[in-house]
Amino acid sequence: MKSRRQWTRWALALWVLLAVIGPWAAPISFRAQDRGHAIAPPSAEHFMGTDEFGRDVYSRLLLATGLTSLLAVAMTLPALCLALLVGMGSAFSPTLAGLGRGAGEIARSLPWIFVLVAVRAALPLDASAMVIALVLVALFSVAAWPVAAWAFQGAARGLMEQDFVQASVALGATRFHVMRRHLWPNMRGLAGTYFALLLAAAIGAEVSLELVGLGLPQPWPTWGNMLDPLRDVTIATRCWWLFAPLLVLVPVLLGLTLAAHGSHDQSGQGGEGGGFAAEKARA
Amino acid sequence: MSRLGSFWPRVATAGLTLAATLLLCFALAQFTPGDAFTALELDPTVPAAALAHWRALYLPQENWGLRFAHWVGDAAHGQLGYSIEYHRSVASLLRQRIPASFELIILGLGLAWGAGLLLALIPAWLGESGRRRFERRLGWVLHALAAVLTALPLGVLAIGALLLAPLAWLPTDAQPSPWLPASVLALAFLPTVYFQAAQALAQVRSRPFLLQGRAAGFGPARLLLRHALPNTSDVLVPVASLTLTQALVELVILEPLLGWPGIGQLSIQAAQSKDLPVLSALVLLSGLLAISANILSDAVQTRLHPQLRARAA
Repeated sequence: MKSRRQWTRWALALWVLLAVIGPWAAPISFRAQDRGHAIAPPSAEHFMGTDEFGRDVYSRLLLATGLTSLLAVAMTLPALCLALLVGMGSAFSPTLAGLGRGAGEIARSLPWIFVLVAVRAALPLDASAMVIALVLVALFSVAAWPVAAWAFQGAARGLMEQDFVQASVALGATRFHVMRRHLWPNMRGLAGTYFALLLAAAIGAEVSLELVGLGLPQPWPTWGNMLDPLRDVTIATRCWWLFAPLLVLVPVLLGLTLAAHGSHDQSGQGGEGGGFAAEKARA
Repeated sequence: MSRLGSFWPRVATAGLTLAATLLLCFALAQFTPGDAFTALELDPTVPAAALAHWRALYLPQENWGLRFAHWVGDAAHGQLGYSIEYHRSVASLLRQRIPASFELIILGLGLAWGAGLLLALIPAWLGESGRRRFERRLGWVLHALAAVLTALPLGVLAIGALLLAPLAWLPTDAQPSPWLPASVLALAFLPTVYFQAAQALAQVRSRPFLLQGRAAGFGPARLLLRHALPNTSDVLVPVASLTLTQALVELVILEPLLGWPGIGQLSIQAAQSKDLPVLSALVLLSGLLAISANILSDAVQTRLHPQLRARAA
């Protein structure tokens, strides 16, 4: 168990390092096209080969790691903050608890992917990467907060019934004090679980949306749009080097899944399969 | 009593969700910039007068309040507008595409639930037969495989499936086979179903009534299928409802990638051609399906779970 946790920590630390310094370490510009060497296998000049426009896969992968990670964190943080606010606030206010549950049910039932498709259709064809990223962040946040909020609500309500919290309230502790000194330290593990889960979901969503043309536009590289040429079976069977994004994508998603399980077990919130507490929360 | 007490809030939430979906559809169809004729503005062969005439003919001109009232009235009668891109009514277009998507969902989720429950039951059966060591080992292997499968996004699974699938399963225009997209859908949901079923079974197996069953000499099959599995329905039925609504989301990714002619592929085609009546109808349809799945899940849960059934009686 300990070695698995350590392995996960190292893998995630490597990913963060790659995401931060990768974009600055790219040897060739992500836009530079070498049309004479389009879809070329790895060589001394292009360490991981080139794509269909002759762009260096290695340089694009380094930048894509940074961009995809940044976008995924931007998609996850607002959802997590909203969920924490609603979850912890519900422990003090039954009205907020009811409102949070109702709004969560509505947000959960609305078909956000179809809304995303429709919003994407409404945007001009030459919409900037920033505008599309903001749309993705907004829709993911609205769609993803309820499951985490329900789990935080349950945990906060359970903590409020504990003797040490009751004693603190009886001694006149303010709501902010109870949240900061009692609720948050005991909910950090659960928040970590949901951060890892939502981050994995955001990366998965970004990759899949890119493959159907709903993600960031070219020439900005992301893991999803780097995999896009593989939709053509002929290219996929012959150009094995274009699978390079999977070398980073799969370990990162696996690491996040294991980290979610690990922090969940550590926080004592549940047993095996704890990473899938999202669905359990709804149950 | 608690089930009855939670009935009206559920109905109120369903009503609010429906209202929010309707408003969202209307706002998308009416207030987003551009329409089905925007692309024609770039065509020098189409005169501006013709564009103005078509807009007056096909796009409503009244104020938004009246438009909303008419739109809701029409939607209630099954009239969801006209698709200029496909030259036919949206309702008839959906009637053509919905059966294909339902076929895919039923096949894919059927496979995922069948395989997921079976994989969760096998280690439990080994444990009930006294082979605890095999139960632990198999459980570890299955957990690892499910974790790896979770780490593969749906789009990557679809590309992998295109590479590895038998030739007869590959998408063709003539008679596409549902097995390829259904298998990918099943693989996408298998880890969730397996994790939830394994966890719910582990919890139920530690409860006193199962200990009583073991003491009474019930065999592993009877213990698991007759007593343990029905008591997991309070967890698994809501998860089934979730997988159903989630499957609608996955269709938007899966169908265009694997060439399956359902509502997912239609939504992407409609987005490319700015066919907003089709997109609004799809938002409304998927919202209605999600609400129905939630209500159905509540009803089925009460029927399946022995303790809830006894309480209701």
